[in-house]
Amino acid sequence: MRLDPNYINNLAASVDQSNSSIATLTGELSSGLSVSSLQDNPTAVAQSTLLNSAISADDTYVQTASSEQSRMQVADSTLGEVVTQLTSAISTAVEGNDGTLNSANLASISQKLSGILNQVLSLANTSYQGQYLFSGSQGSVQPFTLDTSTTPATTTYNGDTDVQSIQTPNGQTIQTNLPGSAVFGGASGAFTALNQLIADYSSGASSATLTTDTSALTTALGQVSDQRSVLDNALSTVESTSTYAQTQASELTVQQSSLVSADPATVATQLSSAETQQQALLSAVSALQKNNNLFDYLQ
Amino acid sequence: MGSLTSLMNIAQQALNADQNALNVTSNNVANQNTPGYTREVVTWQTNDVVSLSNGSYSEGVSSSEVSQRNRVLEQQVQQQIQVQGQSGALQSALQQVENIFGLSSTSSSASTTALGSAVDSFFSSLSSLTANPSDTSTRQSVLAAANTLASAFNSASNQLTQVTSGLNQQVTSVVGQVNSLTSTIASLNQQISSTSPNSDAGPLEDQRQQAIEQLSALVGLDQISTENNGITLTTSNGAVLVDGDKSFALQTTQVGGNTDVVASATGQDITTGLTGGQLGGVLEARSQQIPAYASALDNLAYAIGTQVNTQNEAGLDGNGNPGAALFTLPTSATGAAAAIQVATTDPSAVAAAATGQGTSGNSNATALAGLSSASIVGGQTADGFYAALLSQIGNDTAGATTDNTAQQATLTQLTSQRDSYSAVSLDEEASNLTQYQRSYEAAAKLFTISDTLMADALNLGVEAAVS
Repeated sequence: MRLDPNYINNLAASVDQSNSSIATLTGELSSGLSVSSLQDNPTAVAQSTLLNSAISADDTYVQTASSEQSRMQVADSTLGEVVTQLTSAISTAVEGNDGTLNSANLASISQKLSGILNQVLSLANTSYQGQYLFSGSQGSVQPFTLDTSTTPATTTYNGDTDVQSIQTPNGQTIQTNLPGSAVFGGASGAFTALNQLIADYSSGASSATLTTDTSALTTALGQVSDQRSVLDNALSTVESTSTYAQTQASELTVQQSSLVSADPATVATQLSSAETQQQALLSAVSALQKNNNLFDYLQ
Repeated sequence: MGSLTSLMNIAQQALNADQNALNVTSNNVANQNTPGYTREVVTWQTNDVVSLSNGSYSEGVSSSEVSQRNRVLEQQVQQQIQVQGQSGALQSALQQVENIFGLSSTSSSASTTALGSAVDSFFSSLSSLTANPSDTSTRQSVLAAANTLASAFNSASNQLTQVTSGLNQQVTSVVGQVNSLTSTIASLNQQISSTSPNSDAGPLEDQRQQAIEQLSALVGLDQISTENNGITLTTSNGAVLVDGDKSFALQTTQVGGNTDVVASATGQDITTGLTGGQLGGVLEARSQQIPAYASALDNLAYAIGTQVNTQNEAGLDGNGNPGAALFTLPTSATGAAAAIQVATTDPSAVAAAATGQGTSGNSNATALAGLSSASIVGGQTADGFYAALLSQIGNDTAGATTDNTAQQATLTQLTSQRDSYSAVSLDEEASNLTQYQRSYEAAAKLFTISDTLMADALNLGVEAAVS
């Protein structure tokens, strides 16, 4: 059977192929990616895309959680100070109700309680980064205003009752604020109790009235503490979900790496054998190109 | 029984025949590298015997050349060239599309595409907004991420359009090449049918087969042999390209923004159903794969845009007014990826608060951020849809590459088979050369001897004047 005299041309195609596989492997080694284009591994690319969005969501949540935590911690410490003030108000009220004080002393207790009221008022109107903390969703509206024209003075809540929340990447909703009305407001709230107490002390009300007022204030203090623990629970949930998201993000990053990264040891081995093969091919081709035909031998 | 004259004649015939054989051999050697050249083989025929007055005289030998051509192998090679031409053109078109969605590794991701990370960043900026709905710089970063997203869509869509227009230009240039080849083939048809209507036309046939081979790389062909050694060529869907000595040019026309192919003989648009060769591959990519990718991209842009717009309009912006659309989009998904733009530069246009909430309300921002996990396009989330698109492009490209490699290997094998029959082997020519050289020398010797005999006859055995 006659041989194809142009078979050397086919070897050129093999050298080409050998060169291109060396180029691919070198590229993998230098970029560290085994998947450098969509066709290298379409499934891995698709999964990697989905992982990217999950990792991005987790990373964003960690940052979001951290800024929320700062706000919630400010709210928490504010409430802590409120508790201190209210406790001091209660003990002042109890002391003043022992029946031994004269009107001048009662007036001074009334003044002290007024001072505490103003403190609590300004604490309730705390703002963080330009937005009031206890206005519900009305962050640019000052939550509490005091009208001293009436007796007892009236405190008006100007915010709303909206509860704000953030969502974790898993869809969990975490409360992030306390509306002022839930903490301080309402008929059983701290302001109502304080205003009543101050008015009653100023007007020299009976001991029984004062006792009732003091226990109303104690109830109000309980309300503040309850709300504070709601906030604290939410705060610790934010912390734990943030930690979880961070762990998730690391794990997903590792998963993604294993999908698309090149293992240097494997690639280096493949590259070495490809180079050896190419050397062999090149020396075979060059030996063949010295191929003599009969013309060289005819005299 | 012969005569001395006939002896000289025979020697002369032999010399002529050997000279011809030597010519053929040198022609083979000279044309060893000519593309499409088929080696010629010398055939020897004894001349007819002439009977005269009870004697028979043979007139020696004559030689002629025959091209070693196997029409079946030639056709097989040409058909494979058509198939490989199509798969090659398809592969290179799809690789251009693949490059639009190039992968790169960044500090935060091992492997990401520009559009993918733009989508992720946009939804991330909305998540950040939920924690800080009234902060101007957070709102500004939402707009910045929206701008990045819109320009990523625009860029991908524009690049896809550029690939398509490149393919259209290719159609025009291939049609031009096809036309020049078909007119060459037609004129060769005419020459061949006038010079050798009943037998292989040698070098002319070589040229014709070579032209058909070049044409096969450009477009799919059906060949029909006609009388007087002619070949009629039609495209795979029946449009006549060459008929006898007439060639029918193809023309291009613009249809719906694309360049279509028209047969000038019938005026019919033959684009659909045109397969084979570079033209077939380019048309396949342009009419099947690429429109699917473009419409998927448009659907994704339209879905994200409209969902964000709808959700934004459901909330209150930074000034407490009902929100407006954040993205400008066309009325339908077609062209959405190229046209999507951010409608505003005012950071307070982002509606973070839901209706009834104040400036620190974030419920609408939460809903906006929640769009990333909602099924908004094709029953999938934005990321799922995009991942599926990337996977499809990757699979199509990988398939085209594998197919092309296989077709290339088959072509190499068939070419090798054809060459083993038709290509010039220097060893063979060298040994033939030696043989014909000796043959010529022998014939020359014969001539010398018959010349000597003639001289002897003239001198009638006496040593004298003629020698």
